[in-house]
Amino acid sequence: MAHREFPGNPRLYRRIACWTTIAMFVWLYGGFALIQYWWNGWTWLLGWKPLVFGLLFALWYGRFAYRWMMRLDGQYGRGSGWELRERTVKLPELK
Amino acid sequence: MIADLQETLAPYYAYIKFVHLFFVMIWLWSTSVGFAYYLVPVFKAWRRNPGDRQIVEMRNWVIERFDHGAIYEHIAFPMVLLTGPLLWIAGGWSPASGWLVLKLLIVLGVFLPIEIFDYHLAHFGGNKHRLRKAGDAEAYERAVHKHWMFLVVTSPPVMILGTTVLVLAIVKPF
Repeated sequence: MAHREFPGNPRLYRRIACWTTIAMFVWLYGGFALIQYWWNGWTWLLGWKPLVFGLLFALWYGRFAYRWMMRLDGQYGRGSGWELRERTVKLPELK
Repeated sequence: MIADLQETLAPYYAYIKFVHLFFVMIWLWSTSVGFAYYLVPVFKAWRRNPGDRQIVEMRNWVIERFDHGAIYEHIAFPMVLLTGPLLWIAGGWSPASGWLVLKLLIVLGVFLPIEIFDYHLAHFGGNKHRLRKAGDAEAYERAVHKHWMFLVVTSPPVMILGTTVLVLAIVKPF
């Protein structure tokens, strides 16, 4: 069995959370504002309230994404709610 | 031509919507239990005990089953993409419907690239069963790592934006 170290670590997940949040915000907020302005002439998305709401949501999302990735990849905690039990099993596999 | 299509499809709007929502539900939920209650516990055990050969065996079995189970999701997604434009035409929707514009930005800009990569990981070059049959242990391990990293990174946007798409489609807030 080939052994290689999995690259997931807190620093990587922090960078991923940061950049994916920025990219999503630019794509979704920017794209939506552009289409609404170009198609309907609406500029409401450029007002301060929607912008502040969008930025606050992005900040919340960035933190949420980082913490979720860390928890999912077992970077938080030690799995004390689980125990490993040795079993002898037969597993069905595709031919 | 669009006007003709709209006239033809408009009486069937509710039926097209049923088909669309049927496949949306499969696409959103079909892998959730397998992921949360089978894949995640085993992969967490592996991350905490990376050298344990028995956990690695279990990990490999679970990810291969997950690859196979993604079939439901990956049949549903193209059906969602097919029926979506039909709904757009049949319903006479336009970019004046803000909820639809944002929904399409999410589906085309976020979900579509994720799914394209997911197809590769589950069924094509990244399919773990095929790599194991080929006897390429290095490639197999690389593929498992790539798939786990993909699942870790895409879980947050899938959860939040999947819910957002439902809210936009049902509530139509703007």
